[in-house]
Amino acid sequence: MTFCLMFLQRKHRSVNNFTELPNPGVSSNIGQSIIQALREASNTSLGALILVSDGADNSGNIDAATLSEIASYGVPIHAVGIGRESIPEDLELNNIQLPQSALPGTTLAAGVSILHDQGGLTRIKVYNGDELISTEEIELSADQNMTTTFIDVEVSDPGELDLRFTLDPINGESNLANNSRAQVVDVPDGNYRILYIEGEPRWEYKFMQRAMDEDPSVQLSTLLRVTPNKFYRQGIDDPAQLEEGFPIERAELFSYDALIIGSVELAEFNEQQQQMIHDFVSDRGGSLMMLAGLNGLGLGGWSESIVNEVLPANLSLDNSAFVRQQAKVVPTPNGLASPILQLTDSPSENLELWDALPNIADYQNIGPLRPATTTLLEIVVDGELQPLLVTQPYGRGQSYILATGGTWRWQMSMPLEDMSHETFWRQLARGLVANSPLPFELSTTIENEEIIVRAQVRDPNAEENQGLAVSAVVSSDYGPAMTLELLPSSNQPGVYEASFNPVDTGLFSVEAISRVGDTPISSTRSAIRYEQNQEAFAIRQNRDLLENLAAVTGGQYWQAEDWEELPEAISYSTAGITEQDIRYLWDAPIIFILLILFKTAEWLLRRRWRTI
Amino acid sequence: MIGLVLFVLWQPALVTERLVGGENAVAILLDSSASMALAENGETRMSQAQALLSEEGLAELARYL
Repeated sequence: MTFCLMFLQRKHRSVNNFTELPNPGVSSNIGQSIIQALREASNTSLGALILVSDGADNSGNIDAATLSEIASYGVPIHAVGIGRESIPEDLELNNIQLPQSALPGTTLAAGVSILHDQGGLTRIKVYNGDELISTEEIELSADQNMTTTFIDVEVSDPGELDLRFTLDPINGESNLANNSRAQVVDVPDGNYRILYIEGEPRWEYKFMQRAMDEDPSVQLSTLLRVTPNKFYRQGIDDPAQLEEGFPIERAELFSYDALIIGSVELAEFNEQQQQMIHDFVSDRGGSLMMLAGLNGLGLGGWSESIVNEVLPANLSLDNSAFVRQQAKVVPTPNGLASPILQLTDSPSENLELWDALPNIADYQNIGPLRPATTTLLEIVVDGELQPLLVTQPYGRGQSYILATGGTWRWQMSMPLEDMSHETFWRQLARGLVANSPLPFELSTTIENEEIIVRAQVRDPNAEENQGLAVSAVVSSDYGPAMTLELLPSSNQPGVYEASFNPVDTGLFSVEAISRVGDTPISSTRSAIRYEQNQEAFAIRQNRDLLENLAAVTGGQYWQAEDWEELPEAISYSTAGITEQDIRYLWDAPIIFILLILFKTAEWLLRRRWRTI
Repeated sequence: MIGLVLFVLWQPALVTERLVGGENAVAILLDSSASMALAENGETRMSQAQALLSEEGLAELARYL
């Protein structure tokens, strides 16, 4: 609690006039402080609550539920705003947007938002530990007070990236603590697995496989139908893998992170397998990508399957012709913003590279898109654009359609040293697996000055695993490691939680182990950096929050210089013990003035109409 | 004119609600988080707030309760 509370009455006026204050807290939670004050006042007839604050709430603002709980007490809040709403000599690194984990070898686009009250130039530096890894000049807009930009961060080796983003100060800036933010990105060293089933030997199969071969983080296992009921396997770990063709057990299929179905017709899969493919996306959280082909998509009869529900387009047997005609590929704005389509780091060069790509060899019509579908690539057919690469979220996973089997022309028609085709397929493969949930997922977050450790454990069938013991070893830059027992969450099956109060700031590494009895089942790790500098952020007076608090409770927002008017306004409060003051208006001066006016007007009108 | 007379005969009244003197309290919640220690124009936010909540300021407020 970083608020001081006193109750003021006429009869028993407290001598405490806030001259003795506790040590300042490291964060503010205005909503909870108000609720606690109102609870303490439950036996007092409270006429109003006066909040004297800068409105800087570091708990992530006041949510609607907290606001309505505050309003339910029926006590008007008069919020007195302290501090400047605009601080031109201050920059604040408002937010860094990065995923909590990333694959080795990827490039992350870190979203950086800077709060400022004047235009100008600044420079941002990115450190990994003590090593400077990136620096970029940023122009701050003079027209708006928030500038957002993206900084590329290369992810190389497994482990963790201990990133710190730091802004150079501007002239006269004294509060430098809000120019810097830290974030840790976990870089797992496990391989992601993709299963690709193809119904016919074709160029696309060969070139895609070659492109993905070089990626150490993604293992591509393929099933190529060479004769009816006979599959040629590649990229397998042991002779038994995929021996019977496409998996018939959920656990086997769910051991992959993504599934690619090429030019292979629906009849190749029995109903149970079709249901498994559906569940692979919805329950397992894997990615499904379907490719075009003579036996692919609508032509393969997939519109008749439950799998069609998962896809980003509603396939149909009619109007799904596979056209062997070249077409020019154009990325959409969404596509250009997607990591999948970044052929190079520079956005302008990326656009040039896409423009320079040769036509694809063929395409297929895919039917109407679903409402949640995002189109990443389009093709130009007879002067009109039609979708080529589309995606949508479904259940816990994601589905894609790439409506061509002819990207191989990018490799065949370009110089040997051009890597566009390889880059496209590697990034597409990474996009397919990047968000695939692991069977044992660990996350670390900071809530109310505590570090919360959460683990989610699923069995091979993607069911929540509830019969386990989960423990975590927390180590940091200082002090001995400590062990936490994670307890099952009461409201989320399969989720285990524990929390601890860090005694100091620094980097905390957490390694969690799941066990049945004393037998370890699996382990995973995560890291988080804990800093006690929340109060250095959001230093501008948050007038919106204070006004909102006042508005929902029937109070009023006040600036400090209007303080003298506040006592009288409070005396008209409708909370507490009140009395009604009834003032009859028959003898009000306005009535007599109106009477005289009416009589005068009547006399004047009669004079004009010559009736008197 | 007739309307005004009818309006007066209707006995219009202004009803206001006020706190009963001496029967109520106000809660004062002062933010004491670290951001209140920021200095602006040579004075911290906390000292600005404390100036409002001085002995005299509170006495004036209590007079209306």
